[in-house]
Amino acid sequence: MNTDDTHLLERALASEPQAVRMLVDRLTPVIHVRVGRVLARRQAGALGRDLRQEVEDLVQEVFTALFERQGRLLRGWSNDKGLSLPNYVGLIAERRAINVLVSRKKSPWTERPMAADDLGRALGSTPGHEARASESDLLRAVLDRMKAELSPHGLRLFELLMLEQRDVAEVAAATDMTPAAIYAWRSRLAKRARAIRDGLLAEPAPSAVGGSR
Amino acid sequence: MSDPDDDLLDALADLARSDAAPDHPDRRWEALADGASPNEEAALRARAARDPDAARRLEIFAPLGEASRARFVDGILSTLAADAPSPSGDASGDAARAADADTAPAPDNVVPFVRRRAALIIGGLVAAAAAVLIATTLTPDPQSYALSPEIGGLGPPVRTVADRGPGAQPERLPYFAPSTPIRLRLRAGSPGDRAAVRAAVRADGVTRPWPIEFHVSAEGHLTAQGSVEALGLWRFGPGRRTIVLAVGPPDALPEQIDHPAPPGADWQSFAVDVELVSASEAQRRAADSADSAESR
Repeated sequence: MNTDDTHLLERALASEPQAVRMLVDRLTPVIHVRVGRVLARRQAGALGRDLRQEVEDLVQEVFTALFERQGRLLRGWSNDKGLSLPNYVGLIAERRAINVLVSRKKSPWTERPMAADDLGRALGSTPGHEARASESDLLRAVLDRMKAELSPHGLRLFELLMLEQRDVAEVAAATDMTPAAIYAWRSRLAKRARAIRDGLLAEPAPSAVGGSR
Repeated sequence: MSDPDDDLLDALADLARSDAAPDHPDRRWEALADGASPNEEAALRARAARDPDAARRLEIFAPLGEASRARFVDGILSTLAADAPSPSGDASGDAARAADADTAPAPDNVVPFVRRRAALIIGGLVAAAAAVLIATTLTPDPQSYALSPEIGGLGPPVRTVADRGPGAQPERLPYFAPSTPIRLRLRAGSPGDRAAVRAAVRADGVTRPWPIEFHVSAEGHLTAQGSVEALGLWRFGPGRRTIVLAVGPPDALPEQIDHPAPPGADWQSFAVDVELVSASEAQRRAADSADSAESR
């Protein structure tokens, strides 16, 4: 399968229309699902938005990102690093979708994470349920920022170390890195997460209720 | 005492695991994007007919069909062609800069290729004026549009009147409840095409204008989508209805449109028969459909 993908990728990057079409058929579902997850999580902010068009535009944007600069991102995939092409593309798709939605100026979704808005209210005087919801929203915002900022390699390490909780030696073997490099990456991930969280907490709350469209 | 940074990473990992959990409720919807079974798709569409939240998920995860994939292929080939190194260009420098950018935090001004192109045309969106969408230039070939079959609806697939043949009496029509998403897309034959669209609905032998806003893509495709209610289709009331679309140069479209277009007309027309039903009726049909699927 991976060998087939390597060959298909080479042909597609050589602008062979039939290969591009086959690759689109192979990758559209995984890109669609990852982009859809990001959109579904922002559903509350999406009222009135043309969702179908948004999905299609984001999927196309992911394809554009994959193929621009002569397919630089796709050429970063290697079939001997334990990550299938669809999973590799899925990581990029989610990152790209978050990036686009978070960074889009005057976005009807959320110009900035909802967490800081809620947190500002919660820090006022309302403990309990609202505060818990704010903590959850803050975590969501930190995770989204992490995914948006990390390279595919960084995301892969986050998955292996944190989600799958594999030990350092195993991750080192899977990624062809030294254990020391893995430890360094783990520390880097933790510092980055803290910096993002602190940055979100420091963001000023919007001055007017209903300011986010 | 545990390290606070580790606690934060652990909490993030828990959240990411929860998002990706096999039993997460969204997995059912996600399967739709990858091609769910007809029964499963029918069940999800029935749910969407009675639940606005499910309707939004249906909009997100309904499969991207042939028209979308063709657009992706066109976009990829354009991207590859645009980035092809010139004979005297220094592609290696670009690649090195790109590699650096990939490990750095993402810029906050991500403007994709598609949106740049759209902005160059007419700012991405075209506002509707009364019953007609006005575009900027005449279409070079008024016969170059095709109606996408991905209209949506419940029950049998949508087929245009032309596809079914003249005079054919459909036994069953695709049906739409007020919250059912509907998507009308006129695919341009060539990127240079630009045209106006006028929509109407025929009910009980009378054709009435249907004011509806179409969006134009960078490729010239014209799309209107939303729920039946949001698009104003529900105001034509429940029953069998024919959606009529006319596309052509703005000054060629008559005030009153119908299908088929008169011989020699400088515009194209499309007609689709649908049935509009109440939410409770859609629910009843979905339940009947599920029962009959189970009994098979």
